[in-house]
Order: sequence, then structure tokens, then C-alpha cells
Amino acid sequence: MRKTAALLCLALAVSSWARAQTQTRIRLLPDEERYLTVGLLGGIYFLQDEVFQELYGKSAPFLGGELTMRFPVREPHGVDFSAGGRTLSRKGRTSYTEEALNLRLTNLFLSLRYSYDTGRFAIFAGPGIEYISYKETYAATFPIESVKGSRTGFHVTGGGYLHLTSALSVKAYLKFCKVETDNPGFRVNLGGTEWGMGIIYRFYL
Amino acid sequence: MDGRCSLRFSFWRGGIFLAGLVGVSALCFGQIHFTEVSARFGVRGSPDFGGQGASWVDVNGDGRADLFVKNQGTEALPSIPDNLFINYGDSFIDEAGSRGVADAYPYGTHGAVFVDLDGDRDFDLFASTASAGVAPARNHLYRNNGNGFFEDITSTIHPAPNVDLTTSGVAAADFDGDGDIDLYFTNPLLVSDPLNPFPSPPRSLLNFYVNNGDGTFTPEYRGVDWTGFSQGVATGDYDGDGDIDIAQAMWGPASTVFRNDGSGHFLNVGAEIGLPTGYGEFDNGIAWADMDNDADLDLAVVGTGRIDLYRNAGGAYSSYQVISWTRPIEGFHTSFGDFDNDTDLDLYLSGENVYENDGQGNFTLVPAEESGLEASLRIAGPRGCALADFDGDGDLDIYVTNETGSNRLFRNDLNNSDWLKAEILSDTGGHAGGFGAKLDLYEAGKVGVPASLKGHREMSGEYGYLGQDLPIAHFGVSAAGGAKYDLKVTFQDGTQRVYPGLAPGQKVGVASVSPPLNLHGEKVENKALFFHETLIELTWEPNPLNDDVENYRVYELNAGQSLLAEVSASDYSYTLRNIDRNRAYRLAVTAVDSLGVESDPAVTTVNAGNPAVRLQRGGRSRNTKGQI
Repeated sequence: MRKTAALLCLALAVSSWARAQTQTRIRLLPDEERYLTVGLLGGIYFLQDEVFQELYGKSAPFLGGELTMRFPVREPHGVDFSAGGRTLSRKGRTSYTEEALNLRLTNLFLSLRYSYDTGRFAIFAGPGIEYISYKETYAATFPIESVKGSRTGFHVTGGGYLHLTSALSVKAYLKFCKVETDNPGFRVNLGGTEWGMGIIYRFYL
Repeated sequence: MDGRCSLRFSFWRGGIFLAGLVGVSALCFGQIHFTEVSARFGVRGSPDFGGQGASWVDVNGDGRADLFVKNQGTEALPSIPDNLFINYGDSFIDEAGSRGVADAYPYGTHGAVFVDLDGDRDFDLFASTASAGVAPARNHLYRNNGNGFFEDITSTIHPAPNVDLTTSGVAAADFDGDGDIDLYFTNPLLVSDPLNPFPSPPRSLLNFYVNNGDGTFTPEYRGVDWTGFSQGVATGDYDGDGDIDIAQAMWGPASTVFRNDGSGHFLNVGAEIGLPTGYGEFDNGIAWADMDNDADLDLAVVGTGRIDLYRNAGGAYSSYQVISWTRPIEGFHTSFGDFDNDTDLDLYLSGENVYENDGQGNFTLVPAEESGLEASLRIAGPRGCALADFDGDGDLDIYVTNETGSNRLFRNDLNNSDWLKAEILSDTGGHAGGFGAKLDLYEAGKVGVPASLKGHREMSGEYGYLGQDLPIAHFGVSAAGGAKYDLKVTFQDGTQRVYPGLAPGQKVGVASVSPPLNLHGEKVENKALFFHETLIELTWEPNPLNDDVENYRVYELNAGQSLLAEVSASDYSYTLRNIDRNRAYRLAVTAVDSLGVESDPAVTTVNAGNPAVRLQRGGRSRNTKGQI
């Protein structure tokens, strides 16, 4: 409790000091410009499914990319339309016989986000739809060769950009996905939490 | 002498040698001839005290027939040891003392039988003690430690016997059919006047040591009344009903047969089955053997000056031949063995001669000058004898004990390949020797055809008068023309094994293959992310009774019997993949030996329902979070 109070006091002090400084807005991006970003992303996906965690571990690294179109509404407010995808593959073992497993999950998504861009940095948040294609392949001793399929879900995401130059930014985000499938005859939860970051290149339209 | 002359001399000498060899071979081929070799092999025993009987047995598991001699004491030396002559191939050495079976209790040993009492595939010893006025006189049990050394386990008899005995013949068999070996002994009392020719009022005495299956024995009365002094005992299934009956030679009352009711209780049926009912005979030996090769046990009773032979016809006996002799000896023991390897069982009378079987059970004396048994005819006090192929040349040799002098070993000089031997390494109860098992040898492909029967043997312990043959069945069969034979083994519990296509000149190891133990099936879930498989993990344990398992066979019994897999002998598990969790599975596992003989199945049922807890192979378990 004392620790929390001390942190609050420190935050208030820093805030007061900041407000007392001269308000000089540093802008790297021009106002009222639509732009398109292309990004290369990487991160970690924490799947919620307990069986996944048992067989493959609690998380899996991924690589992906995205395209985002920003429409300024009234600076610094705007709307982003984003599309992208990522893929991850993981090796594991079956729960009892410990036979080799290979899992590949490929996500495609579309997002609609509110964004607040100060010109130096930006934050965003919004929902989207998620499409996951999966394929699990098994050892030769396993009764079947592989299982594959796909499923659609939704997500909410939030994050921020730090503009390094007028064309280049760094992105970090957090995404919660909810995708479930009953196709195998039982429920598999493909949703989870995705932590990612990447490098973004910007084109002004 | 020039070189030509020398060559001619060598030629003539070689010719004479070859002619002599051919002549001797022709003389010996198919004929019974023995040579007395007891001094050469060092098995004469003591000339100072008398042998009463003998047992051939491989006590140390080295594949050679060792020899146990049952010695009776004298007034001067009542506590005399028995002999255990260990066979070292070219000689025997008496090691009874160092191996713990001297059994030197006054007034010596009469009956004694080597039998696998504890099912550990070696031969233990049940040795009698005859009081003759020296007390205490108790029978003793000795356990073989597996290497031919013994420890006294008489204390396993509960309650400990407290009466002095005059035991003569003994018997060992699974009388009550419960899978373990029980013991029977004669004269469970002090006999004040064994020569009394009149029957005593029946006395119900404790004359069985019933095996409790836990290593202990309980003295019990099982219906064999004492009515007079009893000598030799034989065991066999004379009526073919699957249980072991007892035949007993008596002094005074007539020798008789006690029929087993299947539960190990006996009834005297001598009169009912055609045996004499008078009294006053002094019979010493009694033996069962299939003399006329019709797959049942005929009977020989040996008494003073005669052998009565009875033919078995459906469990009833009729006398058909009496053998008598002129030598002034009592008749004690008859052994039955195919001495000339011509398929039928010949007869040897202790201290007398060999009688050849004509194939129909009729016996004709083989003159001593032909049989070479002159030394047998010089034995002053012949008692029990025993047969074994002690030198491993495929024919049956004879060891005869002598109450009043040295014992004799007669080596059979036949030496041909017209024989087959079968040794029961373990029966369905895991016992070496397979006492109670029946072995029938047929021409190949004709199992069960009476005309093709080449020999019927029933494994037993002591018989006749205190003699025990090596517990390896010996058959004389022709090897001419590449003949082959099928051996059918019927264990006492009815289990049968057939060993097909046997060529003569070999010993067959018969082992009952027992099913694996503790067969257990468990449904387990095996998960991938997108495929949940239910499997049955089938596990079992090897049966210690089996020592020759080649593989295991796994069957599903739900719809008939379908073979799922053959698993190597070193694996004790099998996994059925991707089964229907909502179905019950009935599964069986059998053991298969190197001859392809398959055991009865061990069966288990895995019920329908959800799989059991998830256990990772190797013994590690996981919780639902996947944490080990």
C-alpha cells in the first residue's frame, strides 16, 4: 500500500513538472495526410487452449505483416483500416505416446481502429475479424496422417506507434483473439493473447 | 620281411577285425545285451549294508542322470547314510553327505522319491525312515536349492508327526488335483508283526502329506486304510479318469488298487476290478505299465517266486501271464522299459533276467548268455532297481540294489538311433518331471489312431519295490526310412500338447506353456491438438513357469478370435490404437514357445467408458495443465 502511494506521488510530481514545461509539439508527420503503412511484425502468441499448452508449450513465436490505411478525421484523431496476417509453426509431442507433432497456424485479419496520432507517436485500438487456418501433421505411427481446417473469429487490439522519421515507425501492440472450432469433434480454442512489435514504413497518398 | 609281405599281413589283420566287428554288430543289433559296469563307474555302494532301492534323477540340472541309493541299516550300523552318486560322465562320486541328503536316520531309508515339491523345476526328496525298533523314526523332506544341494524342510509338515513309522514304499503325485504335489507313504505305524498273513482290522491312519500350496504339508487320512504290512507302491491313472490312483503291494492282505474319486480320496477297489482278494501272499512290488501298447496301464504284481501280469480292459483287470523263476530269490521289483528299442516294453526282474515282450504283452525269458546279465543272477539279495540312460546313448541301463552285498549297474550295449526321449521340463503346475502326465507317441500325422500308437507312458515317481526310473520317458521307435513321429502330451489337468514330426535319436524337452500373468488393460487418452485418440494399453507379466517363450500373441475376442499382433518375448505390453471408447473390448494374450506351442489365453475385459487418467508412458504423470 505504501509502495502504491509512493508511486502515485511520483507520477503526480512528474506530471506537474511536465505541464510546467513549454508546450512545444514535435511533429514528424504532416497534418491531415492519409497514409498507407506496410509493416513487418513479430511476436509471441499465447494460446488459451490447455491441450495446446500441454503439447506445444504455453506460447509460440510468429512472424507476420500488415497493411494499414489511415484516414484522418480531425487531427490527431483518425480511423485505421488494417489487414494482415501471421504464421507460426510449432513442434510437440502427443500426450501419452509422445509421438512427434507439427502444428502450423496461419492467421489473416481485418481490423477497424480508432487512432490518435500526435505526429510523434500514435496509439490505436479497435476490433476486427480473424481467420485462422490450421494444419497438424503426425508421426507415421499415429492413426492418421494429418488434420487441417480453418475457422473465423474476432479480435480486439490496441497498441501504439513511435514515429522515428516521417516514413518509419515502430509499432507495438496487444491483441486478444477469440477463435474456437468444433470440427475435430471436440472444442479447440485457437484464441489467445498476441504480443507483437514491428517496423512500419509509411507512404503518403 | 619285404614290404609286400607286410602289406598282406596288415590286410588280413584288418579283414579279420572288420569281420569281427560286423559279426558283433549283427549279434547286438536289435538284441538285448548288457554289460556289468558298476565297479568301473564306482556305484557299487557299500558291501557292508544293503541297498533297498534306487532313484535315477538329475539333481543338479547338468543333464546327466545322478543316482540315489536307499540304504537300510544294520543292527550294528543302524544310522547309515544313503548314497547320492553324482554323475560326472565317466565316473560317479557319492556326495550324499555334502549335498545334504545322507538321511542317515536309524533304521535307514526304504522308500524315497524325487519330485518337484515346490514347483521350482528341480527335484526335491521325500525320504522314508523305517523304525525297526529304533525311535524316533520319521519321514523327511528335503528341498533342492536348484543346484543339487538340499536342505531339510521336514518342519514344513504341520502338525509335526509324533508317531514312529515303518514306511516302505512312498508315492508322490497331485492326488487331489489342486496343482501341487502330495505325498503318500505306507505303514504309518510301528508294525509289530509284518509277517502276519491275516488282514488287520482297517485302521484309518494319517498316511498322506497333503500339500497346502504354501510350502507346508498337512498329515491326513484319505481313505487308504492300513490292513497289513505294505511294501511297494505305484501311482497311475489306471481307469483313465484323469486322476492318480494308487496300487500297493501287501504282505498278508492281497495287493490292491485304491481308486481316486477325483478329490484325492481313495477307495479300495481291488475286488471290484478283478484283482485277487485272498490273503497270505507276500508281495513286494507292484508296477503299472502299458505292456500291450493299447494306451492303458496293465498291472504287474511281484511276490515270492512269481510275477502276476494283469491286462487292463476298460479299467478292469484279468490275469493273463504268470512269470516264475527257479532261482531262490524273492521277487521284489519289476522294471518295464524298451531295452531293445523295438517299441514294446520289456521286463526286468531285480536279480534275475530280462523278459522280452512279443508286442502283445506276453513275455519270454532272454537267456543270460544272450542278455549278458549273468552278474544279475548272482545278486544274493536283490531289491529295488531303476532304469535310466545314464550314459546318454539312447538305450535304457539298469541299476539293481542288493540288500546283502554290492549293487550292480548294467549298461545296455544296444547303441542305435531307434529311440526318442521326452523330458517334461515343466508341467501345467510348473513341476519338473510332470508326474501324472501321459505321453503317447504316434506315427507322424496319426495322432489318436490306436493302430499307430508307438508307446504310452505315464510319468510317475517310485514304483515296483522302491525303484524310481529317471523321469524321462523313453520310447523305442524305428528310425528306418526317415520315419517321423508325433508326441502327444496330456498333462494331469487335461491340457494337451502335440510335438509333431519328431525324428528318432533325440530328446524332446516338453514344457507346458503357461499363460502370462496379471494381464491388465486400461483405456488411455492420447491427445494431439486436433485429434484425440483413445487407446488400450495392455500389460502383462511373464509367467515364471515359462522358460522358452518365443513370443506373445494378442487377440481380440469380441467377434470370434482375431489375432491382433505377435509381440516379442521381451515385451510385456501392447497398445491398441484408436479404439472406440464407447465399446467394451475383450482381449487375450497367449505365450508361444519355440516349438510353436501356445498357452491357454490370459483374458481381460476393458469396459466401455471414458479413458482413464492420462499417464505418460514411462511412469511420469501429468496434471491437466500439462505440468509434469
